[in-house]
Amino acid sequence: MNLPMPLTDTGSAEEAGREREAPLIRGARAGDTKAFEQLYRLHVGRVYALCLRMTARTELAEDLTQDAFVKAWQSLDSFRGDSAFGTWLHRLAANVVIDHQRKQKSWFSRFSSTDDEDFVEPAAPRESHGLRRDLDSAIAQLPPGARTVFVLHDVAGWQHDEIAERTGTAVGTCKAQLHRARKLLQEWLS
Amino acid sequence: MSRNDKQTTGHVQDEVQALRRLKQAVAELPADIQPERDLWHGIESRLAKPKASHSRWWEMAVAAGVAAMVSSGVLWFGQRTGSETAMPVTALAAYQQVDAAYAPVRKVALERFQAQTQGMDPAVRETVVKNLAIIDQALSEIRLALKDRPNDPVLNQLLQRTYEQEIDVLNAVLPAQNVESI
Repeated sequence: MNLPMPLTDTGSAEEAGREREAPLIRGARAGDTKAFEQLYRLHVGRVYALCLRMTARTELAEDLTQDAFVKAWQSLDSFRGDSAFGTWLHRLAANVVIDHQRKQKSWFSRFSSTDDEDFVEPAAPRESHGLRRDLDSAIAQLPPGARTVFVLHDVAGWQHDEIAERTGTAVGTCKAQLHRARKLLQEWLS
Repeated sequence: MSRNDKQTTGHVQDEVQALRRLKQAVAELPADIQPERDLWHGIESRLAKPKASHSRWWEMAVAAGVAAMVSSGVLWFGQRTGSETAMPVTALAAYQQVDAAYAPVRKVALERFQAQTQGMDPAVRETVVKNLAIIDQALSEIRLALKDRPNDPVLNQLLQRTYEQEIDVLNAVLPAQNVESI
C-alpha cells in the first residue's frame, strides 16, 4: 500500500516558493552566504525533521543537518531547477544521512555478521498519549533499518527501488523492513 | 460464509483500519521541526572551506593523531624508498604476521565493545564508532601501501601502531577490563 507524499511541494505553493527562492539561489551560487543563510532559514526545519526522524538522535541530526547544508552549498551548481529547491535539498539531506549510516554499518559489518540493532526486539515507547502525538517518539524507537525505510517511504515518499538503490539493500528487504516498521508502530500505538 | 471466513475477513478489516489510522497520523506529522540551537554559525564557518567535517573534539584528536602518524610514516617511507631496496618477501609477509598477532585481541575487544553498546550512551557509542571507522580507514591505506612493499619495516611499524591506537580507543570506553589483557 503506497502512502501519499505529505512532505512534497505541490501546485501553487511550489510555484510561489520557486519565485521567492530564485534570487536567493542565484545569489548563493555567486557566493553570497547571506542569500544562502536565507535559504537555510526557510528549509532548516524540514531538513532537521528528516535527519531527526532518520537518526532518532538530536545531536547527530544537528550534525547531519549542518553537513547537508554544507554539501548543498558545495553542490549548488548541480541544482538545475527541475524540481523545487526544497525537494532537491530534502533528497540531498536524505542521502547525507544514508551515507553516514552506511559508513557506520560497514565498519560494524567487518567484525559482525549481523547488524545487532536490527535483530533486537525494540522496546515499546513508555507512554501513550494518542496516535499522532506519539508517532514521532514511536518512530524513534524503531530498529535503525526499519526506521530508515519507514521514514523514507511513508514520510518522505520515496519508492522501494530508490531506497534499495541508495541504501544498498534488496527491494525485498526494504519491503520487509517497512512491513516490520508498520506492524511495530500499529502495535505500539493501538 | 463460514465462521473461519468471517474471522479472516474481520482480521483483514482490522488490519486495513490500523493501516489507515497510521497513514492518517503520518500525513499529520509536522513537516518542520526546528533544531534546539541555531546551526547556521557552524554551517557558515564551513562554507569557505572546500571540505570539512563535523567532528567532535576527541574524534578530531584521534583523527589528527592517526593522520599525523600515517602521514609521518608515509613521509619517512617515501624518503627512504629512493635509497633502499625492498626487503625480500618471506613466505608470510611481516604485515600478515602483525595482522595475525592482533586479530584475536581485536576480535575479542570489538565483541566486548559491541556487547556493551546496548547500555552505552548513544552519543558516546556514535563517537567511538566514528573514531574506529577513521582508524579502519587508516589501516586500509597502510595495507594498500604494504601490497607494494609487504615487508617494509616502516609500514609494518605504522600498521602495528595503528592497531595500538585502535586498542587505545577501545580502552577509553571499556575501562573495567583492559582489552590488552584479554
